[in-house]
Amino acid sequence: MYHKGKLIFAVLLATLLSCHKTQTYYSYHEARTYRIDERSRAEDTAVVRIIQPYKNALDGKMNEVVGYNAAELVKGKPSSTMTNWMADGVREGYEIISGKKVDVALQNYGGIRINSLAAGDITVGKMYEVMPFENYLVVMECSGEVLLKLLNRVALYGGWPISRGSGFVMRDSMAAAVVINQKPLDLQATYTLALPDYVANGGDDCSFLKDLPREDTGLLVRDILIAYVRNKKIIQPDNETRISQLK
Amino acid sequence: MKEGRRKFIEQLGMGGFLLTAGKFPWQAWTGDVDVVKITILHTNDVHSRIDPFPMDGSRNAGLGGAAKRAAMIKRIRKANENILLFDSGDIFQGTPYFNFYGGELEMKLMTEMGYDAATMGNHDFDGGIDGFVNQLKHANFDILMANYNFDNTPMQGKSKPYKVFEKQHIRIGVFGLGIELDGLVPQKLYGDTQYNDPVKAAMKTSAILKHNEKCDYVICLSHLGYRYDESKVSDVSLARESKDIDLILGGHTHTFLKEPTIVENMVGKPVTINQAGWAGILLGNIDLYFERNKKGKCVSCKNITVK
Repeated sequence: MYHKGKLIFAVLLATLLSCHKTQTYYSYHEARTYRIDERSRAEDTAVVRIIQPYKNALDGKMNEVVGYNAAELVKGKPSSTMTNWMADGVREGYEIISGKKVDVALQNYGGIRINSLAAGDITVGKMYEVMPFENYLVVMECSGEVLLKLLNRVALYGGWPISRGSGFVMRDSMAAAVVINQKPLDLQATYTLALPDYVANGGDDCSFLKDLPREDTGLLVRDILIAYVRNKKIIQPDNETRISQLK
Repeated sequence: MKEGRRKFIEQLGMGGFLLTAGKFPWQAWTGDVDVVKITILHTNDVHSRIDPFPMDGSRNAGLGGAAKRAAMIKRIRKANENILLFDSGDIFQGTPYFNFYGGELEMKLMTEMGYDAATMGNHDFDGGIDGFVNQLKHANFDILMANYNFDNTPMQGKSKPYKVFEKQHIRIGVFGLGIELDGLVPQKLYGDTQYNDPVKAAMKTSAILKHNEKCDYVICLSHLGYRYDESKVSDVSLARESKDIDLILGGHTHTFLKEPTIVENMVGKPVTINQAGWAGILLGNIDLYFERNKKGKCVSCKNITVK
């Protein structure tokens, strides 16, 4: 009897272990999306406390005045005071920071994100509005032929910011009478060209630039512009017509 | 009764059916079955959006903001027991907070909100690998990355391919996938990071999670992007080619989905794909229901078809 009881117990235990093991099954899911908008008024106080010192210091930095704008700059095509300022700022700012020279600076028109820069103090925050993108400056070497190809693109887009001493006439959406650094374009010559990485990487249909020899300067276009404004102290509008439409 | 449970009953056409929390309705006649609910919360491409978008009349004015998201997460935590909170990359870049503080505040806030894990997006390299590593001291959560080889970079040993989270005996395996960096991020920023085929890495890692780690559910945090016209690998193409992934929480393409996409995988099982827009405008929420019993079969599974 004693042995039998023990056996029954062992069988029971074995049954328990083999058949009654807890198993997990994935059954079902339910999805929803919470939208965080002006109606969700509640703010987490711990998070607000963490943000506050950063925000205060940042506001201080963004309000820092880097220079003075003598008259309103207005963005426009094919040439404008704002696009001229931008291209000159990139070229001269780069030359100030690096000590190197470039023949011409070009910027994509879409890279400037405000339509005008008001007369008065220029703050760091304003420069972020002009150029919120983290575009880095690339310096490239290219032949006059490739440069002409690029300027034909620029003509197709109706004009981009181009630095002082360079320009062309748009004829049938092509670049004609091209002048680079105060000299007529020489198709056989080699030019150094300052561009935002967005364009140098092939953006705005400029894929023919992708494989050219280049130097990634590691400098943000915005930081270059800030350096330029700090150095100049007072920005005077330059309404020179660098790119014009043949009538 | 919690909100999720009520909706669940309504969907079954059993509104008003009285049941205790933690039981499926049919347990009245099937007996000993436990149900565990696990709440997955997720964001992607927050892009240093600490403050809500400014009220300047632009499209996103007033949307997002870390303090509001944190309050919402806290509210969901109060109402639910088992929460996992993930981010699918591009934590950095997009506001001066990143330019001036290098991502320190983003990491501190994610830690405060209780993020469990994140994967890396291409913009998380914008401060260089060193820049990212420097901010990890503020991040009390894991960086999951199964297809970048960080040997010979400052990230070596700072990330894991996957992590297993256990909630009430349910094992959730989570791994991370990153996008090809070449052509997207200057090489100088990602240094010697080696990009490996995400599909191969996903197959291998998800199989480890399902079979070796005995996970009940496998989640992929992906920064590959939702879907592309060209043959480029995406969340949708990955889902089709996969075997052991249950859920892909995506990013990179800033995709707003009305509801998660369900894709059939290589062995005919459904894979759920979700993405929560960008900039912290949305907080994605997927509640997972698991059944635990000693019956040797799932009671609830056959009653519900996953849409």
